[in-house]
Formats: sequence, structure tokens, C-alpha cells
Amino acid sequence: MSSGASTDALTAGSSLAGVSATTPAQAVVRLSRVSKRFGKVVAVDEVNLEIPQGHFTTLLGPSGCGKTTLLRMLAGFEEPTTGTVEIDGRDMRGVPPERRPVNMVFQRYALFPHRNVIENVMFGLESARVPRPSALARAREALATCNIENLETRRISELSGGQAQRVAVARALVNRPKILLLDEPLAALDVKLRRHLRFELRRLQQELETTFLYVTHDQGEALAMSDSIVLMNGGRVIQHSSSRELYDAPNCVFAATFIGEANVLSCTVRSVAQDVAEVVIDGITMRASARGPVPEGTQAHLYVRPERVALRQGGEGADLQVTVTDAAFEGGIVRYWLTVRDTQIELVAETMVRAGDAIFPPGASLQASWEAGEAHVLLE
Amino acid sequence: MSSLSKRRKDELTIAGELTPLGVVLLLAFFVPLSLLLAYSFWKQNGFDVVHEFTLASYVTALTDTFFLRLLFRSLVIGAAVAFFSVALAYPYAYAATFRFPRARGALLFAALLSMFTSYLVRVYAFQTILGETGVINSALKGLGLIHKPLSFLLFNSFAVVITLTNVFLPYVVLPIWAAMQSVERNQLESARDLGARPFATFWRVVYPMTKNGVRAGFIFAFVLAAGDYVTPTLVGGPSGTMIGRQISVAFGLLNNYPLGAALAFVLLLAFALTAWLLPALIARIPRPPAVRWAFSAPLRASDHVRLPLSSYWAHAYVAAVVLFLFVPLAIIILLSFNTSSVPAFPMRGLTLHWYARVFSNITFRDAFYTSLKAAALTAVIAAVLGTLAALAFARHKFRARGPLMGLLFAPLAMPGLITGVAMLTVYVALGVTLSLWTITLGHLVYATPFVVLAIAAGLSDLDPGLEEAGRDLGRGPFGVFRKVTLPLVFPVIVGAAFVAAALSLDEFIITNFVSGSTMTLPLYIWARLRIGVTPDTNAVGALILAGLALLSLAAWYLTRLTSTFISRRGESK
Repeated sequence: MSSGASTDALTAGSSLAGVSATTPAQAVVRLSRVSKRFGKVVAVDEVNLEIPQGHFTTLLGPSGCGKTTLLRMLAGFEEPTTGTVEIDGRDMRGVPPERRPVNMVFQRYALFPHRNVIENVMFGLESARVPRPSALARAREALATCNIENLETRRISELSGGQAQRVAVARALVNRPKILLLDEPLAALDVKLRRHLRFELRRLQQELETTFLYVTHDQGEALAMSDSIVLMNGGRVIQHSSSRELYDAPNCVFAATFIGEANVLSCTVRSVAQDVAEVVIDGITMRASARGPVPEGTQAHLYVRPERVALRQGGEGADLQVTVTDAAFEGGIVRYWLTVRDTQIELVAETMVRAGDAIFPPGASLQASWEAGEAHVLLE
Repeated sequence: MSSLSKRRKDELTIAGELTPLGVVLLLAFFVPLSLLLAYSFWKQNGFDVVHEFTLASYVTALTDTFFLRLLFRSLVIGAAVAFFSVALAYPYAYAATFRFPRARGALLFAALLSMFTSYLVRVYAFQTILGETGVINSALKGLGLIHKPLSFLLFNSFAVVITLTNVFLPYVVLPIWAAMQSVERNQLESARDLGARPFATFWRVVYPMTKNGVRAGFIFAFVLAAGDYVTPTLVGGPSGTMIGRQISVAFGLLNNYPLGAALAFVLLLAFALTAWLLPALIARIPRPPAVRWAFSAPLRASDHVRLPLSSYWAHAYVAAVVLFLFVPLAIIILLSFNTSSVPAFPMRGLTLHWYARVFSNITFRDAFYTSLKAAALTAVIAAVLGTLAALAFARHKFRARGPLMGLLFAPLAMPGLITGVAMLTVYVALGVTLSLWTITLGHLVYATPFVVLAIAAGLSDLDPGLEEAGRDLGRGPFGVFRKVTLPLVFPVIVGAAFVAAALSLDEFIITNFVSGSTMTLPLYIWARLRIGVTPDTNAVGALILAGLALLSLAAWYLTRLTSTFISRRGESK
């Protein structure tokens, strides 16, 4: 159904492997210094962004970060206050939503209650004056692609949440948009269905090779589905990178703490050599990787993911001496709250447990350590 | 792409949507009021008006003790009606909301239905009930309790207050009702959780949240009652006459427009002063911390919501209000089938004789067709103008939105008497022949605000995402309106048109001034009543009631249907 444009070999890459956003895929959307103000509120602040053709890109951020406004500026429901939006090389200024080569899956689907499923899917084709026989054929094909060919004459009020979601996707995709915009399309569904539909959407995107731009505040969804993630906060793009890179190499404290959990400790940089920094926290010296120039003596943050903190009992060495303050069994993993001995430093660690493994009780003395590349220095 | 910015386009759309209704209201309401104001400063010379500035009419209006007494009495009666209406309406809305949640829809419909069931028939029903040969007296005599009819029931201020309270009670129920719905169950539960006892919960949570509804209802009833002229004429007698009657006489018999106009503006000024003073008065009501609510009673432990007013009292209150609203109408309907021509119970037997007699009357048939035509015209025109205006109000935010809505609803807060005489002065000044068209225009001014309200409510129930989806799928603004918005709100529009038809069918106060020799059904009743009550008038009244009830039911069904239909979408499990 997609335009079948140049097959981008990179889309074959699985979401786990990730695709770096810097690969030279052609940009289908280009935002240049786009800002949007509502009265005094700056919803989107000087955003520059390129969205590569054929990728699954996710706009991720807390509510109010500007991601939905950004999406609505692409759809044409909002005009940027300043800056330019280009879609497929065309400046979109003044182009109303109905003349933009994009289609949207709305948050609560916005299916027309006075039309049945196939009539909903044919709405866009009718608008484009596609002759009825071929419109019908295309609509049926779209229903088949979304695995809902059996719902053709169903009324909207008779659909379940998951079915409604698929109809909304079919209704948008049938118009062969240059980009499919998805505004938190899974937010209204329960957790199990959400997980299932994630993979279905991802599969659909890979089959059709259509560019998907997906808005969510759910980091799990973003990590599982996207080729690349645009992390936003306060109207600005914080980081634009692959899922893997965002998780493993966040570029600031916000990125580190918004995606997954992280131990973030204030530290002073003592020395830097070959991308490895020595930092001091409460009198204890630790090593962490540092990307880019880190001047000595700077106040910075050291961060390490809880599941990368290894714990063992007994033995001496360069490891941290820690005391367990609390432990929580959470199913497959145990979470420990730790204090570094003789300091105020607090850490969280997560370890896998197998049946029969002992859980360290509060008060236990342990050794904590992590691999050299697992801790990073963040300047902001 | 296009030379116009989105903002400029929006402004043009809003202007286009509001202009048609704006023109109608301007020509049929605001220009007439301005002319009326001008008249109040012109000079009356015999039966002619000279366009010379003078304060003579105001001097007369404000110094003649006759007018001052009438003005004072009107304000007192208005205040009494407003007070009794609030006293009935508040517990009604309260009990419906917190005690009978399952009957809530039906109780709201009862209030709405009585709002749309004939003003004139109600007034006339009270004449029938309270008169010397009326229902109460004949019942008391039949029971042997009295030998001579009680004459103090009718033709005095008491009769006026009770009748006007009956007529305007629904206008007080609705704003209080609306305010009451904003109180949420969990707010009451959290008040309880924080240790508030039932009375404290009422006084510190419910009352503050509904105060504005009380104020709005009070002012509504006060203004409409104090400015009334029909009720004092029919049930007031010499001691129950009011300023409104004098205003209507000045425009009728006396043919002294400047005096009538001056009296009208004095009355409006008095209203404005009251509306301005009222909030301060309400704010002064002392908190009665130690006083137990009169109806406070221990509640069943199963009650989630602990509020004053026991179930026993709640039932009594709701029943009393419903009976008060509908028994007068039931009496008229029953009497219309009575074989006897004396309006008394028990009935002698059933007959359709009066209906047959009415329909054989050519004057009645003319009035009947005129009413149908006026209702149909009003419904169609109000639906078109109202849909356009509702789109502007429901879909756009613009700076003039609040003030413009205020202007739109001004005709509702204006006593019909003043609207009527103002329109009359324009027609007289321009030499317009009074006809079906002047009647329809009068009905439009009064009915369209309701239509705008109903349709705007329907539009705001609609998920804005639906219209955006229509744009996203390739339709322009007009295409979206035609393919998405209109099909979805069409039942609401039809329902609102039925409301307009009902209002038109029943309108009397304005019609009386702008009809000339054309007669509508309420005017026909009015003419008959001036001759004296005749039994076939009951049949006409019953016919009007039946028409209004059918229209209201249809309107209710259509608007309800739509809102459930629309709101089911999107929240699929």
C-alpha cells in the first residue's frame, strides 16, 4: 500500500538492533527552528528535526513536553508561530490539513459513529474522489492488512477497543500517506492488548515501509517499537537517537532518568584521560566513561543503571563497600537500596533471582561494582 | 498556498456564522429597544407624538403616586415570586440530584416540560381553580365546609403570586439544577471523610457550589414576574394589578407611547438596581453555625452521601412540586371532556362535544392554522440561524465571545412585555402592517437563544477529534460540516427546532402586541377569556398542551438519543 519507494535496506534492522538516526536515509520531514506559542506559553521551542523516510520514529516525553503540538503542526491543525515545516520537500505553511500528504491515527480514534467500518475507511478516498469500485477494493485491502476484514459492516459502537484501533489505522493508511502520524494510539487500551498491538504496529510499519511518527509518553512502548526516538522536554528536543543509544548513552540527566531507572550521583571530575574520567563522590574515587571534553574540577553527575550494579558478598578489592538498607522482591528481580559505607551515598541495584537464591537482608554488608563502560559522566 | 492566514479565515468564518442571527436580533430587538428609549424622551401631544425632547413622561412615571405604588407592588410581588420559587426549586433540584439519582432524568424532564407547557393556559387554569365558581370553592361547598364561596382566593395579590410562582418555577429550577450537577459525589464523600457532618457538608460544600444558580434563578423569576402583565389582568383584580398592566394599557387604550416607554425603562432600571444589589444581599446572609437544618434527619447507614433532607421529606417535596406544576394543567384537560359547562368536580360525564364545537368555529380554525404556520416558520428559521451561531460559539474561541453571548441571551432576560411594545413602536413608526411575519419575528427573538443553547450543547458533546479526522482525511471545512458534523448533530438540530416550535405555539406576551388583527391560538384563548370563561376554552387549552407536550417529548428524545449515541463512541472498552 505504501508508495513502494526506494526500499531502504536499513528498515530491515530489528528494533532491538536499532538504526542510528544519522544513517543517510532521506528525510521526509524537516523542521527548521519551529516554535509554537499559545499566548505566553511556549509549547514548542526552536525545534530542528529531520525524520528519515521509512523509519519508525517516536516522539517521547512527559505530558506537556510539546510532542502532541509538534504532531499537530505536521498534520496542519496548528501553524508554527515561527520556523518552517517541510514535508516531502514542500513548505507546509498555509497548507490546510486536508491538503497535506499525511494521515493521523487520533488518540481516541475519532471514528465516525454515523458510518460503519468500511464507510469510515473509505472516507478519505471519497474525499479524494477515488471511483467507488477501486475505493472499495483499496478499503478492503486495508482492512485485510490490519487483519479486520471480518469487521467490514460492523458499526463503530460495536467495536472493541483493539478493533477500533485497527480501524483507525486502516482508515489512515488506506490514503497512502507519506507519513502516518499516531497520537498515543494505544493509550486507551489495557496493558496486555497494548503490548500485543505494539508488535502488530511495528510489523505493519516494516511490511509497508511507510514512515511512522508515533507520539507516546510510555518509554516501554518507545523502546520496543522505534527505529529512533526523539526525546522531548519543555518544548525542546533533548536527544534524537536510536532506542539503544538513548538507553545506554543518554546525553543528560533528564534523558538518563526519563528512560528506565538510573542512579545519578553528584560528583566532581578529578581527571580525564582517553574518555575515562576519575570522579570523586563524598571522598570516594570512581571511574566512569566520559564522552566529549570534560574539564577537570567540573561539578558533574555520574550515572549507572541499577541492573548494571553487580553485588557480591565477601572479598576485598577496589569495589564499593555497601550496606543493604532495604530489599524488595519484584518477581524476576530483587531491588536493593544500598548505602556506601561511611558515606551518604545511596544506590539502587537490581539483580536477577532464580528459584532458591537467597535475598540479602537489610543490614547485610556487600561489595558493589560495575563494568568499566557502565558508568558515565553527565555534565547537565 | 492561500493568501489568507488561518486566523483571518477563522475570523471570517465566525463573522459569517454570527451575522444572520445578529442582523435578526439587531433589527427585531436592539433597534426596537433603542427606539423605545427615544420614545420615552419624546413629547405626547394629545394622541400624537411630537419628536421633541422632554422629561415629562419620566416626571409623571416617577412622581405620580399611582405609578409608584404599582411599581413598588410589582417589585414586591416579583420578590415574593422569586423567593417562593427558589424555596420550591432548590429542594426539588437537591432531592432529585442527591436522593433520587435514578429518577433524575424524569424529574428534569418534568421541569422542562412545565417550562414549555403553556404560560397562558396555566394562568387561565388558576382562574378556573381559584374563582368563585371554581374548583376549590365548589369542592369545599360540595364537602359542606363552606356555604358561601371564598372570595379571597381570586383577584388579589395572593392569586398573582401563586400563579406567577407556578409559571416561573421551572425557570428557577434549571439554573439551580445546572449548578447542582457540578457537585460531585466524591467531593461529598471527601467532605465526609474530612469529618464534616451532613449539615456542614451541605453548608460548606453544596451551598457554595450552587449559590450562583440560586442567584440566577432568583433574578430570572424576579424580572419575569415583576414585569408580567397577563397574570395581573386575569387573576389580579384591582388589588393585584401591576406596573406591567399599566405599560400595556399605555400602548393600548391610552395610546400614550412616551409614558409607556418611560414606565418600561423605570422598571428596567429597578431591575438593574436589584440585580446589582442582590449579590451583596446574599453575601450578607449570616452563616447559621449552630442551627440544625430543619429537615436534618438520621440517614440509613447504607447512604453514601450524607446530606441533610431525609428521604421522607425529599419524597414529600418532590411530589408537592410535581403536583403543583401539573395539577392545574390536568384540571384543564379533564374539564375539556366534562359534559357540564360548570368548571367543577366531580365531572358529570365524558364528551368530545367541546372539541367539536371548537373546530366548527371559523375564528378558531384560522387561529389554529396561523399558529401552525408561525410555529413552522419559527422552527425552520431558528434552526438555521441557531445552527450557524452555535457553530461560532461552540467551535471558536474569540475575544468577543462572552459579550456576544450576553447579547444573544438578552432577549431571554427581558420581560416579554418590553420586547413586545418595543417591536410595536418600530412597526408603528415605519407603518409596517402587522401580520404573520411580524408575529414570527417576535417568536424568533424569543426562541432562537434556546435553539443556540441546545445546538451548542450538542456540538460540544461532539469529540473535536471527529472534525479533525474529517480534515485529516481530505475534506475542507464545509465538507467536514456536511459529512461529519451535520449528520451527527442533526437530531439535536431537529430537537431544537421542536423546542422553537413549542415556544412559538405558546408565545402570547410578545404576540399580543405585534399581531394586529391576526390571531394565534393563545390570542384566541385570551379573547375568549375576556368574554368570560367558556367550556370550549378548556378544549383549546388542552389542544395547546397536547401539542406542546408532544413537541417537548420529541425534542427531549432526539437530543438525549444523540448525546448517548455520540458519547458512546471513543470510550470503547
